[in-house]
Amino acid sequence: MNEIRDPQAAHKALTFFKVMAFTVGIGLLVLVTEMVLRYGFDNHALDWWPQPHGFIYMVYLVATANLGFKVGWGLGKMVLVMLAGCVPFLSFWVEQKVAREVEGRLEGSLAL
Amino acid sequence: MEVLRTALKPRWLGLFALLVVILVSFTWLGLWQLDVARSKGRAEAVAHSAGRPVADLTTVVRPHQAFPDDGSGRRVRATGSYAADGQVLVAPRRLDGRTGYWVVAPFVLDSGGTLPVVRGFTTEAAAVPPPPAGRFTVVGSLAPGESPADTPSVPSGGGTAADPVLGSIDLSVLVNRWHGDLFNAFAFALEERAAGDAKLDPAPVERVPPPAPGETGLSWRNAAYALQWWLFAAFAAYMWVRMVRDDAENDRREAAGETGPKTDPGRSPEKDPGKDPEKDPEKDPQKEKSST
Repeated sequence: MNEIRDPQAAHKALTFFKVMAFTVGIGLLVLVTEMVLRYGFDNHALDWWPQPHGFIYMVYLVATANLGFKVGWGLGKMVLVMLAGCVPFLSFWVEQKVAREVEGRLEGSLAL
Repeated sequence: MEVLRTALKPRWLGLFALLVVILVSFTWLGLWQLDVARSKGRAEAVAHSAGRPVADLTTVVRPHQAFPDDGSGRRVRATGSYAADGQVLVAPRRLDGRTGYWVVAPFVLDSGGTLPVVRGFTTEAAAVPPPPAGRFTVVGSLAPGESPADTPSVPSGGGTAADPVLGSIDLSVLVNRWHGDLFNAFAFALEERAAGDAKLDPAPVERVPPPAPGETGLSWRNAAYALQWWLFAAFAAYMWVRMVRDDAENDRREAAGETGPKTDPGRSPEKDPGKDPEKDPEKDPQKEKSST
C-alpha cells in the first residue's frame, strides 16, 4: 500500500468517515425497524425514513472515497467498505477496523 | 495530456466501460423512478378525488362565487334542465387522436344558476343535436373556467356548424350569451339521468372523459429516489475521474522521483533511503529476484 501523503488531511478524512459510518450504522438500524414495522406489522410510522437515509448513505460513500483516496486504498477496498454500509451492524465493525488500520499507519507517518 | 495518457491504460479503459454501464443503468433507473413518482402522484390525486362522494353542486360552489381551491375534478350532482338554445361548440379539441368539437350546453339548475356542461365530443359540427328537453340529474366532474382563447369564436369550415363555435370555455364570453346567474365553473358530464318524465335521446354525443387530476402531482419520495440514482451515477463518474487523476499524479511523481529530487517536504523523509529502513530491504530482494 502507498504511503500516506498528507497525514493531516488523512486524519480529518478519517474523522469524517468515522462520523458517517456511525450515522449510517444507526440509520440502517432505523431502516430495518421501518421494514419490520411496514412488512411485518403494516405499520407505516417510519415510512418517511428510507428517503433521507439514501442521502445519508451517499454522504457515507463520499466520506469513504475521500478517506480511501487520501490513504491510498485500491478501488476494491473502497467498494467493499462502501458496501459494508448496507449491512446492519457490519458498518460498526468495519468502522473500528478501518480506524485501527488508518490510525496505526498515521502514527507511523506522524512519528517520522 | 498526461492524465489523458493515463486514462488510456487498459485498467482505466476497462473501468470506464463499467462506468458507462453504471451511468446508463442508473440514469435509466432514475427515469423509471421519476415515472413511478408521476404515476403514483396521479394515482394518489385520482384516488383522492374519487374517494370523495358525489356532492351537490351548490354545496361546492354557488353562482358568481370564486372557484374553490379543491374543486378541480370534484364530482358534483345537479338537477335542472338544459336551456333549449344557447348550446355552443368549443374547438379545436382532441379526443383519442381526432380533432373535433366539445358540445357545451347551459344547464339551468332548479335552484337557480346556470352551469356550462360539456355534454360530449363530436367531429361533425353540423350534426350536433340540440340538448334534450326535460328535467335531468347530471353528475359531472367539476373544472374551473378556461382562459380566453387566442382566436375567439372560430367560424368553423365556413359556417356549416349549427351552433356557434368558441375557442375555449371562457366564462366571461358565456356570461354574455346565456341568461341567468352563471357558475364560475363548468362540468364534464359523466351521467345524465332523467328526473321525472324526461326522455333522454340515446347517446347523442360521445362523452369527454374529464382530465385526469394531478398532472402536476409528484410523489416526492419517488422523485427523491430518482434524484438519488442520478447522484450515485454522478458519484461513480467522480470516482473514476479521481482515480485516473491520482494514478496520473503517481506516475508523474515516480518519473520526477527517478529523474531528480522533487522537493516535497511532506514526503522527502520517506523517500530518503537512509531514514526508511523497512523499504530498502523490501525493494532490494525483489530486484535481485527479477535479475536472476
